[in-house]
Amino acid sequence: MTDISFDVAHLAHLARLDLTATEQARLAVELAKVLTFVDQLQTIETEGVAETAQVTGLVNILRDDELRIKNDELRIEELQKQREKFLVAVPEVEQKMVKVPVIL
Amino acid sequence: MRNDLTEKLAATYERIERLEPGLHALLKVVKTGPNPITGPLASMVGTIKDVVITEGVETTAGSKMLKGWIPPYEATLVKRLKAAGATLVGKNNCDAWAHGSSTENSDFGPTKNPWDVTRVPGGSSGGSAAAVAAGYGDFSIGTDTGGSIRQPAALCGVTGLKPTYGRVSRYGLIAMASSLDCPGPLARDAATCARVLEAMAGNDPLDATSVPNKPFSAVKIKKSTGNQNKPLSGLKIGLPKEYFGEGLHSIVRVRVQDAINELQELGAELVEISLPSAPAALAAYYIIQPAEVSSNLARFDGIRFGHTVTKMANGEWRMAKSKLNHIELVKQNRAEGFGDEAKRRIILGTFVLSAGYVDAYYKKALQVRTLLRQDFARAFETVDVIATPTTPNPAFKLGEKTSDPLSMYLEDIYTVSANLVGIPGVSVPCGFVEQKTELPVGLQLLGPMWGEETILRAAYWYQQVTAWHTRQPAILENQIASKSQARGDNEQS
Repeated sequence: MTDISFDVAHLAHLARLDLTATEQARLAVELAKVLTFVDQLQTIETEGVAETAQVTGLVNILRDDELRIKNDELRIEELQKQREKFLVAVPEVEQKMVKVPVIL
Repeated sequence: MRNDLTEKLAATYERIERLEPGLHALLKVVKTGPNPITGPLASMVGTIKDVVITEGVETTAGSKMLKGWIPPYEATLVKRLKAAGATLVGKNNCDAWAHGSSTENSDFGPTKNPWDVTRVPGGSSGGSAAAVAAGYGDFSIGTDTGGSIRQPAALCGVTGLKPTYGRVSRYGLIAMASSLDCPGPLARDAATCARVLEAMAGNDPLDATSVPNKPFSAVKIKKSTGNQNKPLSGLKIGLPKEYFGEGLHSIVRVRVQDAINELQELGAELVEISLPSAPAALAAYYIIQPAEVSSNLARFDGIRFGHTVTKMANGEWRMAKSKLNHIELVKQNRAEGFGDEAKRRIILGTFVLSAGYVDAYYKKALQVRTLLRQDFARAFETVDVIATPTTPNPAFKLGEKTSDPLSMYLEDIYTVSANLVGIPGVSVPCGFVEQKTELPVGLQLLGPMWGEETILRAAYWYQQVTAWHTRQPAILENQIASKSQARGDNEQS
């Protein structure tokens, strides 16, 4: 496993990160070191061992599907207030909407 | 009562003003009057790590990605602390996104250790631990994903509790690794940590991973199971041989052993145990944690909020957004907004989750996590508490480990298991390593799931017969001395 060569440029694209050539070269060295360290796991026998992704054991925690504010007018007012609060942090807003550059 | 609090607040702000230039434990001082609510924390003053969202108060997670961001909502734990009457006076410095063990990854400059300002306070909740050590109020709230409350608590000589996963709501916590993150208190002593935990704990409908029907009662930690001299009678403490091996500083070993002997004096029974998978915990952690980090940090795109390359800090446009397409803009926003450590973890996490490697790395780590849980479950069949050192070494020098990320990661070696398993752990001051300055040492007490009462009880009784947690760094005593000196001079003139 220690031999893996990884393509930092490709990973950076997947992670939507613009990395300079210097950053890519440094990360390749640092990550190789970390991966060599974590390779010790390969010596542990895990055949048939279940995976643990969470520790609470809670499953499908759902809330009741009911309106928090039942009055339509009050609800709209509340949502508008919330929208105003959130739009304050948006870098570019047009007509009370988040402005996004072209996708394609 | 209110007048006392007004005075206490004034003294706290004055101390912050005096010590902060040398420590940098805070990213923001929040000027406020006494909280008028009369609740269980009514006379208490605290600070909050800057990864916890505070409505209307700038929250950055120590990253320039969020510089200037004013959250539109409040973390549940902050709401609960305020509702319990606590007065909150500042936001603590930390490693950016809570990535680190020294606060040197903060984009706004490191915090200094109050015991020796040439050394790190630990991390990532280094600002929280330094603030408590320096007397900025009674408590601070930190977050612990791999040791980020316990390790800085040990290095700064304060008490720090990582609760059971699911005990305290994560709603409003800027997520690092969602299956590991636990917010918890740091304070001088275990009794204060217990009171703050009691105020914060409990199910929250806004966090689906917060566990219902798990009340915590702070007064119970003072319960004795024996007579006056042996209050810990009947308590079985396990000593895992894997935590006392190679790499442990010789004086740290002695101090921790002394503390364990003290617990025995208090009536506890010591039992040698083994946690065979523990040595592999750090390796599993450095797969699972970056995997979750890469996923959690994906939301920061600089489009809806956060740093963007198109706009300068003063609000002027640097370039027209139309020049870049969506992906290019997001990539550049993230490249500028994230620091080196976040980038390192994003790339590492993306790698261990990528096609062709996910089974060899991520899945393997999740299986080792199961083995580790089984080890601890087995141990807690025979013991009530597990005692270990919190860290292998006392506080290291600023800059000592920044060039070698792996050596920084190794700082978490004794603490990460608790996060992978989900169990609570508390770090308790247990003495000093005397170098040119005194450097604090921490004893770690781990308990089974929902075992906060047990570990805090051991810590509470330990602190009834020892005074390590009451010791204050010289910087504080000197300042107080010079102040009374100055006051004396004034009176003469």
